[in-house]
Amino acid sequence: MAVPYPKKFPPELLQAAIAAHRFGYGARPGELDGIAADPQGWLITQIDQPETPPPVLAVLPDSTSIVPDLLDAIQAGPEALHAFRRRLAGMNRREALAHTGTTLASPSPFRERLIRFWSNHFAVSDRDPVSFALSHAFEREVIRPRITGTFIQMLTAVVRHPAVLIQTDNRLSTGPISIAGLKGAPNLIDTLARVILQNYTLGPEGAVKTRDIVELAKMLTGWSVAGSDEDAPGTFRFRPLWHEQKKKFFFRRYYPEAGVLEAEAALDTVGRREDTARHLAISMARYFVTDSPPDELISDMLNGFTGKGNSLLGMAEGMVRSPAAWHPQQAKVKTPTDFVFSTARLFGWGSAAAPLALAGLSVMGQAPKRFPVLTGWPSDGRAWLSPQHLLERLQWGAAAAREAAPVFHGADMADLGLATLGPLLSPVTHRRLSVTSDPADALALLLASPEFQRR
Amino acid sequence: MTRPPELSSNRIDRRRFLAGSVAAAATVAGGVKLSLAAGPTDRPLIVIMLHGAPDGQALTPIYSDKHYADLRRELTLPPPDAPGGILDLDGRVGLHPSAGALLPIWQAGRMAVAPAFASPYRGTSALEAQAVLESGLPAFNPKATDGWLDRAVAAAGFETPVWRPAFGKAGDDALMARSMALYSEDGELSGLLQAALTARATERAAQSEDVRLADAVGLHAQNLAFACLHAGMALISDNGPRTARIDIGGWTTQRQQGGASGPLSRRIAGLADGIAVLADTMGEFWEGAMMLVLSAQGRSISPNTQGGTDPGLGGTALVLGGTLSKSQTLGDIPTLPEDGDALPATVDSRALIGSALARHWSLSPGQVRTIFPNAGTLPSYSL
Repeated sequence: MAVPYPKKFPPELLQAAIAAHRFGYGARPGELDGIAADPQGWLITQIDQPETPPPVLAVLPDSTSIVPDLLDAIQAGPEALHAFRRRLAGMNRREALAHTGTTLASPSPFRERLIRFWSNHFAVSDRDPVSFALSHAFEREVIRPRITGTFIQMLTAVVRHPAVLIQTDNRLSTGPISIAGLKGAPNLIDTLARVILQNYTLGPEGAVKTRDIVELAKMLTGWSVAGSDEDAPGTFRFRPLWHEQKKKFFFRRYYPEAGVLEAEAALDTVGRREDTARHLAISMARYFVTDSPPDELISDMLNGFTGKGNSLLGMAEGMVRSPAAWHPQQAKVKTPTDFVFSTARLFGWGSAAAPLALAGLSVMGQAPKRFPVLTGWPSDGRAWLSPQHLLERLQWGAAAAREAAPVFHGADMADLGLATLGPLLSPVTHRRLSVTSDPADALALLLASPEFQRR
Repeated sequence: MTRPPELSSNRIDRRRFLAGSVAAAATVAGGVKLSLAAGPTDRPLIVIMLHGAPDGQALTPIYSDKHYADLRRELTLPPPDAPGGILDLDGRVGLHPSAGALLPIWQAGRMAVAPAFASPYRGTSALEAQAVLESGLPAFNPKATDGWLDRAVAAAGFETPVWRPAFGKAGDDALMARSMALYSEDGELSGLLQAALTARATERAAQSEDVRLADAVGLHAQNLAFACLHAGMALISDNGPRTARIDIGGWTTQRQQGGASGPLSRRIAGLADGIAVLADTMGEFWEGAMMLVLSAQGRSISPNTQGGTDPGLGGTALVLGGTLSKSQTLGDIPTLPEDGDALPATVDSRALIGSALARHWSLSPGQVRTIFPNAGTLPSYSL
């Protein structure tokens, strides 16, 4: 017999439900009771520790084993590149399955979401016809180990990674006033400089002048990748002969000629700017909390960030500790990824369900790493809210519910709703669930409910 | 021989459709259908029927045609070397960018692609075209009592196949109505769902009854992965069925189908990922399996005024599985017609299915002739 809708909930149960659904990937039935002991602590423990690489990811190829062949294929022309792409087709599916399975099995859903946030921010997309082969390796090598380090460490590692240097063609960038350039092969490419300023740091609204882009591009000349005929193939390589000589003027400051150190200093400068931190905080707050984050939330995040030496852990902690992030109103609609993983948690799917979850992500348009090249998916939740998207989402939910219904044989679906959503479950939904006789229909309705569709 | 109950009820419903009975439509319209039957132990066969005339130039574009982009206009997919571009197969034909889950199967030498495939039917009814594809007869015959799949299972020596529907859910209208009621306090979600349902009603109203009914067999690509999981598990169970048929509808794209992204791209992703789920689930048994992905007809090459496409002729068929000798495209690759209308069909459904069955279940030419009566001399494909 179903428990009647409670007259009153303990306040910490609401906090637990918000912790699980807004910051994580939802709750397994009954999980809220454990989280309620310390909802903020539950979140922070997930990220306040170094990354332990999941074993399933450790067996996948790292970028140094892919890059030399990729560079050779690019060199050999379009035919060779097509052949290379086809050869790696199977690998990309294995990667996507491992990536999805890791999140399904993870005891740290908040950490997994934070990893997705930063991967999306530095968007190495598998839509890119050249660097697609590195999209997962990039996340494993750069993002996963650094989500709690400083932003400068993250930014520098991103810009030095072959995936980014290849994707932006910066590996070929040669200054007009460099030794190679003066011999007649100048090839100044400003894509990476533009991406650093407009996507990675200051953001599209940032105060970026064309001159700053050009000067940063000059500092980045010679930032390249070692090919198969060089030492340490497939890793970062600075080519002094391609590097633009003379001093550079960037963000109202002169940078004396200093080879590879120039761009490192420039990344440090731009990475420390207050408007960069603000852009990052707003993006993160949009990703986790609301499309229009309140000022208190942003300032709590900025304080957390600077209070811990510009650390990304500090920014995430600042968000979790900010009262403004815990408003009971569920402002954001879930992305397909949030929806699939929270459904999986509700249904108790482990890593073995990776193919099903991956198919769900694909069919709702958010397959791993399929985001727009260089820009990532928009952080605004409304990007996933066309009428057609909602219809398809409810249809997938109904199919998943039918799949899961036998597991919940005999269970009361209104109780199940309370066990996963806690006080977020509205009395109206509770009543509807208790009067829906077919378990699959009731589960589909639980997934369709506004409380489950939102965070 | 005991008549397979699932196929026969399906057939009765189809006949009611043809008679124009609206009451019968509700009994079949809805989720993906999965039917299972016996078959040779080590040679599982899976048939995926795509209902509603899927757009072949979206699924398997002949992108190398010099008029491809001119004719496809806003539906043109980016070329293979552009971001999110077509997945090239053989330099002439590719896969939709969302069908990446199929690429490893092609790469492993386990997939044949017929980009200009159709049943022998040349009339204008979508339902009749589907009936001809399923019956294996040269022309539409409302009196036909069984299909090529029944006859093939019988020819392989299984006299009493046990078909049972594992899926076959009614439509989702009830869920949508219940969800709508839950959204009464949520203006954003109720507005979106209302808009979606209105658009769907408008689209259905604009379709002829023939097209609507042909499209309404299994509405959702969303369900396919789940159906494939069950089909895969059933096919590898001891003493379980060895033949599976999955019906998936909703491929009629008369309006706003989208190109590299959009509703059709997500359906294609669902198809590709569903097939990959089946292959994953079957594991080593996939090596002995064959899968046919069939559509009775394709769509027009060029978009109509509503960003969709109209019913056409040549469409996509795929043959996949561990028993294929190599990956290849099948049939002549036709030139895209300059009027942007239907693609000619260069591969007859009976020829391709007959070649596949003969290889997979070691059927003799005589047996294939009984499966496809009055077919005359059909070309055979070396798979």
